Amino acid sequence: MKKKDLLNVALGIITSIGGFLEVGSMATSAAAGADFRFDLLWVIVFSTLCLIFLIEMSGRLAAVSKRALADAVRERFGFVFTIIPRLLEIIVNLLVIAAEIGGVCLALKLITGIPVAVWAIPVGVVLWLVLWLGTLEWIENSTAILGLMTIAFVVAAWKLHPDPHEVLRGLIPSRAPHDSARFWFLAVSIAGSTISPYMFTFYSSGAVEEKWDEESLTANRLTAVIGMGFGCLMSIGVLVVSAMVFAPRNIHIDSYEQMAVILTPALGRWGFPLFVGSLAVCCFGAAVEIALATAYMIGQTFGWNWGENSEPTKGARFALTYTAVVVLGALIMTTGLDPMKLTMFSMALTAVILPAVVVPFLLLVNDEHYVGEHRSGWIGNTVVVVVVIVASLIAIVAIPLELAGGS
Amino acid sequence: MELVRDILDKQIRGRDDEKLGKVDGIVLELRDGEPPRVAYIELGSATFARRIGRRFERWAVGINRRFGIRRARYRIAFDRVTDHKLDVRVDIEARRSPAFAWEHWVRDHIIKRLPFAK
Repeated sequence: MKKKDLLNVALGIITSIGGFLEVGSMATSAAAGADFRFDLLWVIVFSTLCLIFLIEMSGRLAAVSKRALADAVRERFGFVFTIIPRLLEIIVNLLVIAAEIGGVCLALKLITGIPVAVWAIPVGVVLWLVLWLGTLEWIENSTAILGLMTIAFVVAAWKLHPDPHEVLRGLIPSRAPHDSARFWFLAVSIAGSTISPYMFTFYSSGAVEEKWDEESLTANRLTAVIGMGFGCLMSIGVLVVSAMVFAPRNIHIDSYEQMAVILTPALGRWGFPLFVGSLAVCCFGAAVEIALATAYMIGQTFGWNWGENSEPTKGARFALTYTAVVVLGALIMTTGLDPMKLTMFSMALTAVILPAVVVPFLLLVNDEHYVGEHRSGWIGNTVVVVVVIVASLIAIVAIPLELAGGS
Repeated sequence: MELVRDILDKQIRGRDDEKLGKVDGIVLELRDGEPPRVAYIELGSATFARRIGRRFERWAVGINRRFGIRRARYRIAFDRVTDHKLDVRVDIEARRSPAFAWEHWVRDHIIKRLPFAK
């Protein structure tokens, strides 16, 4: 591997560590730890395994075929076929970006006491300015480096000395010990927050923008495995800390305000600022990625000029699209929706739409016409198909049950 | 060449490497006693909307008219296609073509009016 590739891998890994945790993973892992202690750890592990395969596949598709995901899907399956998955993805992305903006607003509310709805527009404006004035590299690197503060969750988990046997037992798939509807709803929400479709679009578009080729495949594989693996550790850290802090006190996480003290027992007076900082930075980074990923997806579907590195006047429709996504996301949060409920619901909804997004993608990375000799192996294909379809089916059953409050 | 696999829905790039759009349609010319030949590739909102249904095509034409865009579809003679391996490359200056009508409209009416527009 060349020196430049090594640098790219290192940056990719930092990006994954800093960018893995966002409002969805934080909320779902914390709620799972509080309600079911370590019983849902295995869902994080299985979802991350699936994500590793999918991220590697999206990078490989971009490097070999020179096409980003949405571009290749339209070309291979035609315009009419692409409409439904793209519409579903746009709806989910809007809900998720609203939840991420809500996360940043909540961090600001925890510091200032000013309500979330008031912060929505100022946060939207700052988000838009970053997209409007920044380059892809600057955005990726700055959010990734700032996002490294999420390591605080792993440090806190370590300092709380959880019973290793119990943690290891949590890695083995199990049934719900109580309240099955809640258990499975949280399971699919964790899956939805981990296997986020915007991440494949963002990753493959970045690979095309950075002109990856077949020589980048090793770097791609390392980034996917090590980066997402470390990212998974952050989510595990949140779940373990929540299980150690909230479960023994019978506290159920219904709002982000309750989560504010999650790090305090382990990290003392640093706990609160580190939690608020992690929440703000991770949500902001994810919001930037979702806005860009949505614009990439629409631009690639219609064949416009797209790219974060080009000036807004050179890619006017692309710039208008991410602007609209930010505006709509911020407007949703001004309505006073509960950010926690919105996050949980949008994560579970993500799990529902996964097959519509992932199956065409899977066919592409097994198509010789696109990836030549670099087709996917049977292990990757099987893991992705099983996790995605099972998560979607459970989500279809669990969402109405959760909404009805039943078990 | 297989028209649907190799041409339809592919990215179109102009001679300046700019993206014009996707191949939304293919126009064949029927000739007496001879096999049909590909006359044009077509792009534009009316063309892709028609692939969903006639009603969507009428809507697309109406929206274009409402915003002062004269051509809701744009045909490029097939003899201007220079390559179709990765993308469909055409011997046309993209930014001066009708394919960029919406891009120019958005740039002039919205993007340039926003702060710090470059």
